[in-house]
Amino acid sequence: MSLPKILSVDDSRTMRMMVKRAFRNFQCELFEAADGAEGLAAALANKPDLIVLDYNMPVMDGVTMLRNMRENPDLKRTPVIMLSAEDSNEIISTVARLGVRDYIIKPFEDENLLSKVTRIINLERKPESDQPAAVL
Amino acid sequence: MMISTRLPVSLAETAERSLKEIFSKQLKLSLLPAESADETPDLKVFHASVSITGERVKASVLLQISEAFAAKATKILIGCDGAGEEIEDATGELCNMISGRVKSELTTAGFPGILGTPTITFGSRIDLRNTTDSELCRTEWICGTDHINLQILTHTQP
Repeated sequence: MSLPKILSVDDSRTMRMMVKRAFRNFQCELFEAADGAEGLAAALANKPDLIVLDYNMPVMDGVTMLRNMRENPDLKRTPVIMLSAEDSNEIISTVARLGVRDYIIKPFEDENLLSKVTRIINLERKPESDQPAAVL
Repeated sequence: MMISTRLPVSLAETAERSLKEIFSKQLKLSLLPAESADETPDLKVFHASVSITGERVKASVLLQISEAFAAKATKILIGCDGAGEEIEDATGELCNMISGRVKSELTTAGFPGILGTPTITFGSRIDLRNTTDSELCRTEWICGTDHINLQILTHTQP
């Protein structure tokens, strides 16, 4: 059985590492991209089951990437969760019209991200022996 | 009719709310208001700055934290010790989170703008200065023994 694929698109390396860390105890394949253009290419190459997408990025922002995805037959139904520092109603309604499944405002807690992700894809925990040691 | 260019929102409240949320939710650290600015001589700090630019608004959000606190925050955020670029990126992300809230407040108040990407520099502490047509919000916080300085400078047009 293939593992669920998750694509994290954010220009902040810190944020991508935080997303990666949130999934550390779950069986999934995680891909990363640093802007919308890279994200689009990574989505076409890997066909993720879910994309965690930042809004404000250089080169290509999250909304432009979303618009491009919705015009592409291979990606138009790919679920997207927006993870953004911006919380204005205008942005939230814009991305809702583009079919975003959920919106998380930074700062975020792992539990919040995981609960929204597991509403969309099935995530199974890694066996305890495979889980990384906790960071003290 | 006089059109006021003064902001109908309190950026000091926004700064306080967003900083406290980041510290409690993301860093799991407590934050208290400082009674005075950090007077440690020759202390070098990271400056993380994000601009907000619109037709009727120009704003700068500046977060200043010590090298030691930046390293500590990075470790909490990414789960391991960070190197130079990782510490800079994490410091920028902290400022970005605050700036997103400031941008939203400005948009709600009728001053929409575009958020820039964080710029990071390192050096002596900077104090932004306001002119007659700008507003400056300067706040100082303590986390353990570390000083956190946050300044927001806004210039709005009718």
